[in-house]
Amino acid sequence: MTDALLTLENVAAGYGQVRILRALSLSVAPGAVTALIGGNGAGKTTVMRTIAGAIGAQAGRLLFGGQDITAWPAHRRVDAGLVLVPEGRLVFPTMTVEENLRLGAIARRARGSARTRRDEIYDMFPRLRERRDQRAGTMSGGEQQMLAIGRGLMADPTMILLDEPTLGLAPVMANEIFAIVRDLRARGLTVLIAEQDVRQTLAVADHGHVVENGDVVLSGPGTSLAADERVREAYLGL
Amino acid sequence: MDVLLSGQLLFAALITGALYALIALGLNLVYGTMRLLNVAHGDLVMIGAYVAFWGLTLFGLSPVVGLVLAAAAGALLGWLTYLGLFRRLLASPQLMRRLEGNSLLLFFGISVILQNLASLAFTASARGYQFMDQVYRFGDVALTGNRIFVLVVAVAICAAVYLLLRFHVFGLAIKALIERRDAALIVGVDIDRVQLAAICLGFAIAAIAGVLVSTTEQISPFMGFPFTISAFVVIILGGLGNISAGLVAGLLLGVLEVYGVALTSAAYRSVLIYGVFIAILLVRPQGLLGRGSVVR
Ligand SMILES: Nc1ncnc2c1ncn2[C@@H]1O[C@H](COP(=O)(O)OP(=O)(O)O)[C@@H](O)[C@H]1O
Ligand SMILES: [Mg+2]
Repeated sequence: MTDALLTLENVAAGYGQVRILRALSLSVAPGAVTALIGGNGAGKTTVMRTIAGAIGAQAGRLLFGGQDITAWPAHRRVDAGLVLVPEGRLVFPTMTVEENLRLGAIARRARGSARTRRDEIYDMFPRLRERRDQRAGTMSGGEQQMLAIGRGLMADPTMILLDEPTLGLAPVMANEIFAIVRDLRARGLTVLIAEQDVRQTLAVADHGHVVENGDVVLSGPGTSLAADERVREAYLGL
Repeated sequence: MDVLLSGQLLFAALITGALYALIALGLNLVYGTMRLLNVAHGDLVMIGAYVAFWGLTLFGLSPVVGLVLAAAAGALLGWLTYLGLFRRLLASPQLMRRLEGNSLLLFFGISVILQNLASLAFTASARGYQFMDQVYRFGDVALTGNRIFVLVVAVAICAAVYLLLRFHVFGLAIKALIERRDAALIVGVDIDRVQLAAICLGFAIAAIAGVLVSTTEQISPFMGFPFTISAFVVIILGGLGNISAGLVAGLLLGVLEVYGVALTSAAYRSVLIYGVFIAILLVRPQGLLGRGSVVR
């Protein structure tokens, strides 16, 4: 795929001496939803954090929008429009919803238009508007997830990385999150989503990569992955 | 009891408190953003004091100019310390985990070096100079000009830094870093730059406080340690890394000290400060004014 927005070429990464990814390659098409599926501990979060620059690549190359971003620090990637909504949400707990959103727009690219985008995000998530002065740490998991996504959108991303956005959420709330993912694509964003809820994820995703043991073992369109024998057996319990 | 109600004592408490708040503000910035335990903080106060002293004695520069020179010297030392020592340690999550403990030892070494260099260069004897020592009367309160100078400058700088943190994007980044480093990184805070700015600002504030101290007290190479202690008491009182609570805690410690000494005697000054310190650690280790535990 030469017209990919994001490409990882033989990327190695990990924590200290421990290598989790050895030579992982994948690509993400612009304007589409791409899914990373795989069991607990497969390495999806490590891939996400490496793309965001929260951990450095020890080998290989990352290309975003045609530029080599391998050596870029995390804030520079945000400034280029590549934004992570992390696993566990990582909102600022003693800050209010409003302050969390302000921080989402701290990247230079986002500062000027922060007010209008905040209002758009409040339109998208009316519950955040109701709770704008509430401390983020006192909100429910679903509300914190909406805030984390809202904070990510404040950076005016061209590509958003969603790491386990439905983890620990009630099914109704999880459905809301998947509706948001569809909405983001409709707005023209490129989405990379890592999820344990494989059925719903593949229903939304245009394309998917199956990650096992720190490597991509299978790739394909969402619908064909959902029909794949191995995927059905390992992740859909069929 | 009359003396306890006097405006004289109130102003004494305010002046001491404002100075404590100022010194602790610098320490808190460095601790909050990087989890560095700067036990050399009081020695930066000492350096600021000597900058003012030599500026006046050698070049006839007013301590007002000394404020600017000391701030520059403090910032320069912060810059050197960050680039020379801590930048690499902070960049690696593995090294960073042990940094809080290691920083204590590193700064202890820096403290010893600064004190010894200062006594080699300036001799160990105490020095002082006259500055604004005419007495002003406000009702029943009599204050020397230099003490008014201390109060005004300390309050002004605390207020300026508070407003900067409250309203400037740099303050937002600092607060993010203090509250949750991993999330600050992800939203796009340039952590390296913010850390450098925080350490330069923190050191500059300590040096400015040194200029203030030198206008009212004798200075010596070993004057720093009590300021380190009081600054730690203040930031523990306010909750480590909690900047605005630290400002209130500084005033509170000033009040405790000045009124405590007035009720007992000057001999009890250190006992009071250490007593507060130990009592807080026993009763409320998260700080008297903090909101629960510090988030890391
Ligand atoms: N901070 C860390 N330090 C060391 N090992 C880690 C750390 N985080 C994750 N790992 C290890 O990396 C592997 C992949 O984890 P992760 O990327 O979180 O997988 P997933 O997101 O697919 O569940 C796991 O074996 C996990 O134990
Ligand atoms: Mg994960």
